[in-house]
Amino acid sequence: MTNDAITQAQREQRHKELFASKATHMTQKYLRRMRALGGGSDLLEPFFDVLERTYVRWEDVVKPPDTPTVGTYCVQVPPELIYAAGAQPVKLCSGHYTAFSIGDDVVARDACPLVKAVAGFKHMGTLPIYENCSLMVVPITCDCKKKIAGLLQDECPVHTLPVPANKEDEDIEAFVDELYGLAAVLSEKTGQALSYESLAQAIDRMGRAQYELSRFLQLKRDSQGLLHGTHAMAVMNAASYLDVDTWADALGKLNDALAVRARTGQLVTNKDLPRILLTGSPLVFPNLKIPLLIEESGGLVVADETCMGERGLSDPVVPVDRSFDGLMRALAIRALRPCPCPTFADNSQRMYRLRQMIRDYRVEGVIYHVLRGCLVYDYEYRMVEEELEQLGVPVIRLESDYTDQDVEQIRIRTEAFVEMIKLKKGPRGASGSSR
Amino acid sequence: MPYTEECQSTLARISADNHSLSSLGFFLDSAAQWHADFDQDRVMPSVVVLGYGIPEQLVYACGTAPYHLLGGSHAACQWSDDVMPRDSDPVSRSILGHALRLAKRSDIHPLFVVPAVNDNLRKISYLLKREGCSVLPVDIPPSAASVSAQRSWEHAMDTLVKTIEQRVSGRSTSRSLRDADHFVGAARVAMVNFQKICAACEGVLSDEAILLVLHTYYLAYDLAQWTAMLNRLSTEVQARHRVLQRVATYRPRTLVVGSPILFPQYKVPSLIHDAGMRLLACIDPASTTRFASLAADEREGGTRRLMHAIARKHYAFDASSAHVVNHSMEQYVEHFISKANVEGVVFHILKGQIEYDFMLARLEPLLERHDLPVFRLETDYQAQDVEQLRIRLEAFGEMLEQRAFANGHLQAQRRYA
Repeated sequence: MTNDAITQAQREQRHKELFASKATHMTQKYLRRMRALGGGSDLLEPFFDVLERTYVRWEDVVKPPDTPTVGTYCVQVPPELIYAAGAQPVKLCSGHYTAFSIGDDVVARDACPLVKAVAGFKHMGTLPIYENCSLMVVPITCDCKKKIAGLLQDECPVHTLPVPANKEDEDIEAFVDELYGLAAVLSEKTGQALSYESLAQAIDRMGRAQYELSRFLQLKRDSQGLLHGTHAMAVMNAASYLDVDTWADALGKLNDALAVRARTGQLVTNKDLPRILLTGSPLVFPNLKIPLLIEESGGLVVADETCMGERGLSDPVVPVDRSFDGLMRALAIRALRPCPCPTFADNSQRMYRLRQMIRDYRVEGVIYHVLRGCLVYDYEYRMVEEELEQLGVPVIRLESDYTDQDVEQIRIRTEAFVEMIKLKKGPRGASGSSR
Repeated sequence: MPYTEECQSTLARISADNHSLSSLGFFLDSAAQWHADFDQDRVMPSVVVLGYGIPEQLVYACGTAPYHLLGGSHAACQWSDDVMPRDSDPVSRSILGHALRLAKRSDIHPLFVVPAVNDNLRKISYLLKREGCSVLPVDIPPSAASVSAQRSWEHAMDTLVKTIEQRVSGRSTSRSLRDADHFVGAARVAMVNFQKICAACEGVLSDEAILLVLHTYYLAYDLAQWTAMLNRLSTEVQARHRVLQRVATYRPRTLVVGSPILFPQYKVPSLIHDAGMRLLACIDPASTTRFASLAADEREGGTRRLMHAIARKHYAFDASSAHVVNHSMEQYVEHFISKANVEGVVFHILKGQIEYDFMLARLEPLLERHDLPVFRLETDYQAQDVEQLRIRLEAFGEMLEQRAFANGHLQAQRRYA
């Protein structure tokens, strides 16, 4: 019996070691590919380092001592509330292929790979950012998030945050109530009551990060080719695993350096590459194969409309009433009203945002990414396709999974799409963009 | 297969298997009539409810009957093929197919009530809105433990009633609510009673016929008449059982849990029957709402209080996939297993309904505790997988029979027979 138990323990240990080895290998491969893109990757080292620390060295989020960590998913959980309660938020949406392969055996077969990867990490119980969470806040956005919340409840403390399907006044009111409920749970967890001052301070801290992000996006818009889109996405992904001030500091330094580069005309390429907008299902590190493939195929990801990218942090909190309740309402409004997440029944707002981005970034083609099983994004493809047809912007739908097996197929389609845009641009574009 | 033929083929099979029961004819006719009326654009609904998620008493209390679109038709799936993503489930496809047919008619402008039980229905509400329809999406709080769950649900029901009142120019009163709950409650009691009688009177009605009868609750034009006819059928089943019980033979008793089995898509019950098993019940979101009527002493108070009481009761029994954890369905499965002599469970999953797949993982320990084998059966509304499913179900049936034999139950059953 004892021998059996030891053997079982040893087997589990070996399984975990094998998982760790495969997981770090996979992460390193993607970090290597991102660094190999070149074009200013030295400026990005602080961000790459965060990703490496989290997924290669398996370290916890850097935070002040004795600060509890609160795991979050999606963009509807206001990080300001978590900071105000004296905790450190960490976004746990995962893009890891190795964890996905474990989660594949744990959750429903047709669930999306993102929740499978989450389930995989939780099941293995090895990654510190998951294991050290005092609480996980799961917003009930799509069916997969809803059901993974039920699954996680069996393993760790979970608070579910219902997100309304609409954005009418009564929906906002209901969401304000939910935020009050979340605030109470957070206070209980941390032993620190939320006050007007602590919440205002947290909003200011986030506001600084948002200001730096807006500078970053502005620089990207004004000087296209200043940075690879894949690198920009890595920068924004890194925000999930860093204290907001540290991330804002690092981004501030990057912005300063990019501003100098913009003035001196130091671009990652002087060629007139096809400018691609990436939209659709979340692209979470290390699953950055789509932007990597686009840029390796001779395209330039000038912008992304995804929740781990530009959408994640860009909307600021705008309080109109200087009271605690006013701040809570402002958080609720920010989380719902400007959010173009397809989980909302009427998401026509997303079309306006896409139209605006296409104009601002002078987009020449759109790649619509759908993770296998991500139904809500798939529903909106038809509407996006119709909208883009009117604008005369070509679009393709790329379906992918958390595996490397579909890479070559996606590469062929991406290359063909990039070539098509080059041909459309005419001889100057076609010759100028050859690599 | 065209819409009407699909319906008629199922009805013909049920009719052939149950020809000796005269009261069954009413239910066969109800189903045929509903589908024929729909197909020939003869229906004039004012309030169309997609799926099960709301208490129908509230619609009746406003002076109109809900026109339910539940899915189940493969032909209707094809009507929505252009607008639905590839991986959407057949129930949602079928619901949207039906809804689009109604939306395209220029002679009616119904209100579509869409309970957002899952991603599909949430997006369907927007698709219908884009088609120019009047749509009322209804949010179902995903967790009863959430601070605002009760308040949000009651508010959603207030809005529902107000919108329907405006639409039908009716008004709900405490009396109309009480009457509606009583009226719907009587139908539900008749259904529960009918199920009990069918369980006790094995072999009188085929499994498909039982499912059809229960399904016609949602297709009935006159619910009072339907309830009376169901009570009559129950009596007839009991009477017929006295004659038939001597020839009853042993069949492993199975329970189907998971995705709803909706008329006319009776592939699974038909295969279960062909595999030599008996279908005790199908536990789906409709099963638990049969118990969600108010008790006589709860039907008191003013309009608002009564409305909220009905809403709360419905929410407490709601087993739709809107919930983070579907406690209602889990509890009902446990209750059913403890009462009925279940020998095996078929967990039915329609492709794309992942919420039920998540539930299976939660049910497995419960079924293991009761020493019940569970069989995951995934299918859709196509006919291509029939032979494969048949082989798997036959193997499952044989396994159940072997287990019964090993446990000594089979000999006892055979002696009894």
